[in-house]
Amino acid sequence: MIVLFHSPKGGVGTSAVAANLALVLAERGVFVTAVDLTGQGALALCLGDSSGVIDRSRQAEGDAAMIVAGVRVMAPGADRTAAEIVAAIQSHEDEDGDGVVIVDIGSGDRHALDLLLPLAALRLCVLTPDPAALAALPLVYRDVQATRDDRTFFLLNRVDDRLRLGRDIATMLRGLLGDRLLGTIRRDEAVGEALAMLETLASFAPASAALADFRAIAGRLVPERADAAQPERGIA
Amino acid sequence: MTDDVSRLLEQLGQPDLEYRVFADKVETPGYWPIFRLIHAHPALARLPGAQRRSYPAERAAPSGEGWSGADRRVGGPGKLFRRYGEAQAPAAPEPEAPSDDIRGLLRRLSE
Repeated sequence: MIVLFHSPKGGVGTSAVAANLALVLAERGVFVTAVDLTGQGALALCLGDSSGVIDRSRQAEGDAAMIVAGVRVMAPGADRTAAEIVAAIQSHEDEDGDGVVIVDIGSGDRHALDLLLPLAALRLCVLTPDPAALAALPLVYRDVQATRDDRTFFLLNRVDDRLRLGRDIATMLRGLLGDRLLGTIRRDEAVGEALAMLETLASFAPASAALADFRAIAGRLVPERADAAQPERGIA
Repeated sequence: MTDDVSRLLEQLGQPDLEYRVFADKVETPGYWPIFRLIHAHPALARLPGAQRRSYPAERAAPSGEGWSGADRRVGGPGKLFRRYGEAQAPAAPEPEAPSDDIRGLLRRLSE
């Protein structure tokens, strides 16, 4: 299953959401591959990687692959053609029938989104409850065929009901998006603090509110398996 | 009880603390002009909640929420300075109730 993470607005925490969902899916025993197409390397950092490529013995089609906290991370180079990127992603998907390939796409990279949308089972758009993200919402449906709407779902990140405007926008979005809103993630300083500590959220703050939200969303994506392994702490 | 709450209570040494989960309140969001634009945007017409909501005409600020500290203390915007003139000025006549009667309107204009 290929899941695209993309936002019409940059800076809403798409990479952090993609990474943390990859981690909680891995702790459920799902074979997860995370593909960073942003060119920023934020995905590996959000997974707790402090030293770059960890395991170069696992190579995939010439792309450097590393295992970080139980998640296989792939970052195709900028010199890869679109066809090579698609082939590499599909090769990961085919290895295991019930695996999940998480693809982090930069907010401005419409080309990669259009390329991968036909292959994806889900497109998860990350929003935050602020006016700029709200104003960018129509871009989600720009040039997208109506037949692909059913793959598009939303995640509302950094929700803080103590702030009046944010609370109003979150309430408005819940009404507007309806069942298209897959989940909300509470604003939680522990997310950034874990990043700064080069640790995963689960190892840095096991009681984190955001971590509970990530786990709830993962439960909606993939039902829990009985043989789920415990997540590896830090970097594998 | 969710896992994070039970862990927190355990860390606090209060496993017997009574804990209750309150259901989410059904809230009506405050009015912000950007909401109207988003709801009316044609690109979002396929979303479940699009066009379902109708906003009233521009609403006044509700119950002094948007008033500054000085305005709130005196009971409304502008009253802070207006009250200085009230002591000397004669009492203003009660405003007449609006009427649709055109003859009444002409009579008032001629007086």
